[in-house]
Amino acid sequence: MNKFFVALLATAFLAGLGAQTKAALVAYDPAITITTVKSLPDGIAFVNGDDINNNVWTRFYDGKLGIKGKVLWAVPQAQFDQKMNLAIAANDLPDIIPATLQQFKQLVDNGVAMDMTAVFKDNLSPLAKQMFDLDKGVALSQATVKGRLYGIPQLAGNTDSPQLIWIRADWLKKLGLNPPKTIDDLEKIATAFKTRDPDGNGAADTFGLAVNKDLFGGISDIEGFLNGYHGYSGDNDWIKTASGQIAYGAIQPEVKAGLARLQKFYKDGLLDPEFIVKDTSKVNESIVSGKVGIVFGQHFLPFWPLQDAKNADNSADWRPYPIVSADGKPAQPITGGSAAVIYVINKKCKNPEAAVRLLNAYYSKDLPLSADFDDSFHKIDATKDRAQVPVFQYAFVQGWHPQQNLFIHQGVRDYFNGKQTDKSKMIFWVKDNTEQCEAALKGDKSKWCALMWSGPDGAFSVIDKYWAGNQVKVSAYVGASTETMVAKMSTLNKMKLETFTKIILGQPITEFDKFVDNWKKLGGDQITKEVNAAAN
Amino acid sequence: MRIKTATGDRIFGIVNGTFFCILALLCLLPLVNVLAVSFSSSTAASAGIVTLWPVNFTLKSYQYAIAKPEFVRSFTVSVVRLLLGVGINMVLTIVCAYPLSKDRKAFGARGFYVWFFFITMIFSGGLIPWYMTIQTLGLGNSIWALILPGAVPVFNVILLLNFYRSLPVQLEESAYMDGAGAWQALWKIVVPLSTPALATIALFSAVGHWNSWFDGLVLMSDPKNYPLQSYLQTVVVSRDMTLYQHATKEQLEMLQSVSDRTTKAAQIFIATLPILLAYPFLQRYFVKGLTLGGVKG
Amino acid sequence: MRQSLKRQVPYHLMLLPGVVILLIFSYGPMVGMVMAFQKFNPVLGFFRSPWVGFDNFVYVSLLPDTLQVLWNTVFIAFWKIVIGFGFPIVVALFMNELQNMAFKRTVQTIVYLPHFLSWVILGGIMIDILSPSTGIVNTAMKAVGMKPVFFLALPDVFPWTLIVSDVWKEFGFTTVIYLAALTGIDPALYEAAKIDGAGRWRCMLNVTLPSILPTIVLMGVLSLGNVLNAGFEQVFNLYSPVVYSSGDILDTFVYRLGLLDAQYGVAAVVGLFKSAVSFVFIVVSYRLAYKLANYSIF
Repeated sequence: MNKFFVALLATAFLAGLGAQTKAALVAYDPAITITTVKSLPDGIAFVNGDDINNNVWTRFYDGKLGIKGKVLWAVPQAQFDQKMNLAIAANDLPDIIPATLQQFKQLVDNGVAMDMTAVFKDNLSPLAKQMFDLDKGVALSQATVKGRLYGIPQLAGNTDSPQLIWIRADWLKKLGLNPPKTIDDLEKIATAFKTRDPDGNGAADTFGLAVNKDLFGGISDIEGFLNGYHGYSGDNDWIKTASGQIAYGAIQPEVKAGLARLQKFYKDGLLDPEFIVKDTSKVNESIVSGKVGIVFGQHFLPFWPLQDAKNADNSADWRPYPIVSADGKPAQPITGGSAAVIYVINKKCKNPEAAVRLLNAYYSKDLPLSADFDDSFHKIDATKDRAQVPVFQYAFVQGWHPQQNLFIHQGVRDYFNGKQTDKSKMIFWVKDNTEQCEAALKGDKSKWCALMWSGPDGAFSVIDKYWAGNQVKVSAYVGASTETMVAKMSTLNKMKLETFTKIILGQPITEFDKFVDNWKKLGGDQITKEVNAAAN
Repeated sequence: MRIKTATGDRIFGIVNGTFFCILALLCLLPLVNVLAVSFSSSTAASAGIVTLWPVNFTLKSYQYAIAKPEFVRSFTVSVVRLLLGVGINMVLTIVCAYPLSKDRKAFGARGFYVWFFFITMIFSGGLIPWYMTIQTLGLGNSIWALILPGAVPVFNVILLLNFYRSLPVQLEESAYMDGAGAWQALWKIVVPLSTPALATIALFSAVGHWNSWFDGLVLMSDPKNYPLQSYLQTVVVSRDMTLYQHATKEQLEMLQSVSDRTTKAAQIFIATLPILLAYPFLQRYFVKGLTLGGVKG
Repeated sequence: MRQSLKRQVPYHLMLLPGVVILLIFSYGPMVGMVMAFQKFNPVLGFFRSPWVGFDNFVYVSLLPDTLQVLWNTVFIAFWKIVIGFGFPIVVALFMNELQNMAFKRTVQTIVYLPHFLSWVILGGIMIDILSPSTGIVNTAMKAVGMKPVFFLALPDVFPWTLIVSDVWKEFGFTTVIYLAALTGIDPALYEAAKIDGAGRWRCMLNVTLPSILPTIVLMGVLSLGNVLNAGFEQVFNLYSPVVYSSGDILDTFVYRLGLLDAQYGVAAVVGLFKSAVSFVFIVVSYRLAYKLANYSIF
């Protein structure tokens, strides 16, 4: 049951949910006050005299739900974590606490988080419930500790995160190469990119594969490469062994084999010889300046940094391809949790169900599949310099369709292959993306990223095939950190990173076995035990 | 003999001058790089090909930076903070350093006070209790939260008390003879004699206020109240890409706009400029022989 | 006697505002040091969180990297102190010998520029400058026949990269203090020395240096307080897994521990440890300066 019949399900609620969503919006009388704090994403703006405490959402909360919202503090996303950590440490917290997964665990341990098991179930609107059902309980398991639900996960889905290979298709074409089917192909391509002067400048200044010094992180990382060896070595990757036990991915022999191959890549000069000091943004410089032609990464690469590469050199035709395998068995990309934020409800809050009602309201107003969808709650056209203001970011409690991005792609694809060409019948998301893809095809270079993201040959066309082919592996454990994880995991992660780096740079592959032994001894075995206990 | 010395002096002068030319060059290069990036096209900057000279010269990033309301607002906050903060720092440093510069005979409790001040330089309760104190006092989100906790710069007090001690005692004594009290002696005699030291600590205090960003970030509950460096920190800090795993398209579009390096560089440069100018201004007070002798030991 | 006490009253009054501020903002928060001995729970606060004795200390000391990290910290901090203390003195002394006032002032201003660029910015610039293939430093080294060095990736070299770049960034700023001290020198002393036939060199050694000696001692003693401060921002922006073995310091260590979960006790233990060590170093050197040079720093 790993397949997603997204389109099918979506049609199902389009048909019958209109009436029910309205009923879900019950108002408090007399009105109550709910406090929260907000992370302001990059690029958020306030226009027409709005502010974080007075905007389309707060007015709606006040008028329709009888909830007077109050934001105690709101800071830019990049600083939110730090500020929240201090607020937690000082126990200076609002009613609804948008927490990261780590902070969620702390709030549960501190005894701040309210048990929401019953409140959540009793108050969730049918539309919101549909969304959680589509997620198959992944997000909810992230917010569950010892069988009790301690928060409302901000549902985002785990559909998007499988790795892709991004390759300069123009270089492939120029050198007469085909897209890779195996790791061997990948090596050939990387070698050609290094030795056959793909940029035609007469200098041997290009290399094959871009990797950053931290080895992981969703962009220029090695996860997708190791997946080709059926190895899973992200910090949170857990796999099911043949015996049914859950085991840590990074200590498995498959990872060792993948690292050995990567070592060879490095030895042959296919990696940037200086990658060990370059972080993501430094690696992006190589990508933008056309020094490298292959990079593993997630769906978001067209926006950053590949659009910059396109701007710098119009011929730079970066395209997504499925990851490749080292043997006959198809490579499986891995994905993890469905939520990065969990709304914890403070035990001091007198109306915990208000948080669920806020979520219901969000789905009813912001989800284009809802009968009450209203795009003025999503974006408004406003100022001269900023084309649109993302007002949906003002909402106190948010959640998305867990396969939203994939769903968008399918709509766009159907438009371009002629299955559904009537724009007036398109839902908001799809229409927006279709128009941008069309603009890109007409030559608007700045919309290239949209085309390579949701377009017919974009990132999601590959991800769509992954899911349709039942090819995605889901991490066997996505729940909260266990006790020993908290105490030992940072040390173990550091050890992992050090060992992997050294192996790639040429130390004997037996270092890996030493690492596995140490990993187990220094807390890994205990963590594995706890994970197995928590999962069952 | 004389001639030999003169030649030796000249050679020394040339070597010395060359040494400082090289040293200055080494210190200048990174800022020149930032400057060059700020005047380059954003494509050239994100490709990392700008070194010491702009590539595809443009003023766009400056126009953008100056038009940014956040930038302008935080600049104002910083200026207010600087004026208030340096003023308060200076007054407290001057009055605290004076009694502490007295010896045990003239001020019996000096030993106690000096250690009372000094301990705070070494020991601290850490971030959390500091944060709680400021919140409890209700200073959070106000400019005073950035000024009062550091109102007594103990390092500067120690610098200044050492300077005070090097001043000739006779001047003060004669003031006391004329019936002046401690306050008059401080303001009429000691302070006017201390201009180079005061200029130094004013510079330190100004630079400290201008450059500090952490307190602004954690104490302000609204980015409107961020001082300039706190705002810049939100701009230059690298993004946690794991957040973008589940991103919607709107979020991704924003990612694109924040990764623009030329605007960052322009903002960094504009932010550095005022404080750079402070030093040449204060150099006027570093005039030789302004004080009278005053060398101890 | 009575009159003398009366004369001291204004002194107490002068110190009063400073004392009150320090009591509130420095001594008050010191209550937080108890976290080192607690399993701190924010909901229970400083007074009701369970006491665990020295458990946090034991936990930190048993972590596999602690000794290595401590050694790295001391090594990097030690050399930063030594060079970062000595170099500005040399610079100030020689700058004092520059005859052209305009040039002198320009140089003074320029050398203090790097202080204003944060390590976030400098990190990226340094990777370029120090690149073994294209960096300006290695290009220069190759030009004179030296082998290129990967300054940021060799565990033996990395600490020195940190030390030198830190001195480079901060020396100009520290120099300001000595330049201010230099202004206090009575020109008559130079005149007298010249009449005695002293050249530039002897003037520097016999007049300039002794005149700023109190400042030098003061700065030396105070800088010893940094014996466990190896510079978080710098290391954090420059290090990578290959140089963890020589570049991981106490502060980055605590930062990583804190990333996974707020280990309040661990941070408090390290903070307390750092303060205690600084305190001992400063007090000992304070006493030494007093005994040997009969000079009381404060």
